[in-house]
Amino acid sequence: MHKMDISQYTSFFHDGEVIAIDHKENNIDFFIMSAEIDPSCVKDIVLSKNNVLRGKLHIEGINFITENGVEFSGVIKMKLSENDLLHLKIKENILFCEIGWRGSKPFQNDFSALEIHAQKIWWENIPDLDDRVL
Amino acid sequence: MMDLSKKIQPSTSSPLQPHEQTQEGLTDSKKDKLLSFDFDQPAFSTAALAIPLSAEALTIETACTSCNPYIICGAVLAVSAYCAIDYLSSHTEYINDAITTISSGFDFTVLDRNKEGSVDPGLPTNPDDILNRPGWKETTHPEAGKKGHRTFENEKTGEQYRHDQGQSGETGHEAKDHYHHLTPNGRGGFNYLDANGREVPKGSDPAHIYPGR
Repeated sequence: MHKMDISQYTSFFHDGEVIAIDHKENNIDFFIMSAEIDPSCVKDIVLSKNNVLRGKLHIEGINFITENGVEFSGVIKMKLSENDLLHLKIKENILFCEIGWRGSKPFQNDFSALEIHAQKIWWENIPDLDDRVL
Repeated sequence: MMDLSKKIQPSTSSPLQPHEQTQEGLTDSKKDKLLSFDFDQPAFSTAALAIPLSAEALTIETACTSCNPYIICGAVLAVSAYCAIDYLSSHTEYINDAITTISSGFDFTVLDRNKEGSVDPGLPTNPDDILNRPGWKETTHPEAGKKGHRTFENEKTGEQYRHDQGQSGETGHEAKDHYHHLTPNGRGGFNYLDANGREVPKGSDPAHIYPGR
């Protein structure tokens, strides 16, 4: 498994999507995909057939999490049926991410601004990652 | 920095031009900055003189036995390097860009340069104006609103507009105010539309809609 540093490509994840979340103890795997990318803008990383980045963001050894500015000690889950990844940044083993959640009922939405402090954050590029990964 | 709304007026398909020009203008100016060192500056003139002077110092080795020509050469080079650094220090922005390019081997300052989005002249630059249209309500989550993401829904049709405020320090669409137009797909989810109301893949370039400029 090739461990990649994705921090230079995080801008591409605005308007991407969270496909699944696997939170176990102090590790989280975010299965995510980026927005559409012009292939000429990336180097040394393989895009999926739709010109998006797909893969797993590994967050290991989590020290603490905040959601919308409040310390969070539960398990991070998919809140509603659809979502938009609105922002993603990685700085010195801190993940900053904003997810807009959308339900099937009218006016049903939620929002998570997550800040996750961990010991290690790395990207596993999986161009053929399936939408029903979990 | 704002926009959004439903196309009350049918949108024309023309206007990729203005945005395209803006995007290209921005990135090209960045590139220009990278190439904009003034080689007429004294520091560069000094540096330009340093090499021939050093060579000359070596040639007078026999004539000046009391001075080591390598010391003279080193001193000249040190002075020229100092002048060059002094000049570059006053151009930090360019240095940062140049370092980014050099260290990564890839110019990330032009990341997303080809993103153009689509343009709907019927959308207001100020998303508040959507609320003036019949049937539209704001359903922004309070926390999302703090981060510059607003949502508007049409009670009758179930359509949604999301307005993302441009964020400073970001690149591509995230750096600019834009809208997304979503319509119910009849299966409990939503489809993304472009500025002309055509269904497009989520996250695709035309799914990022800019108001008329």
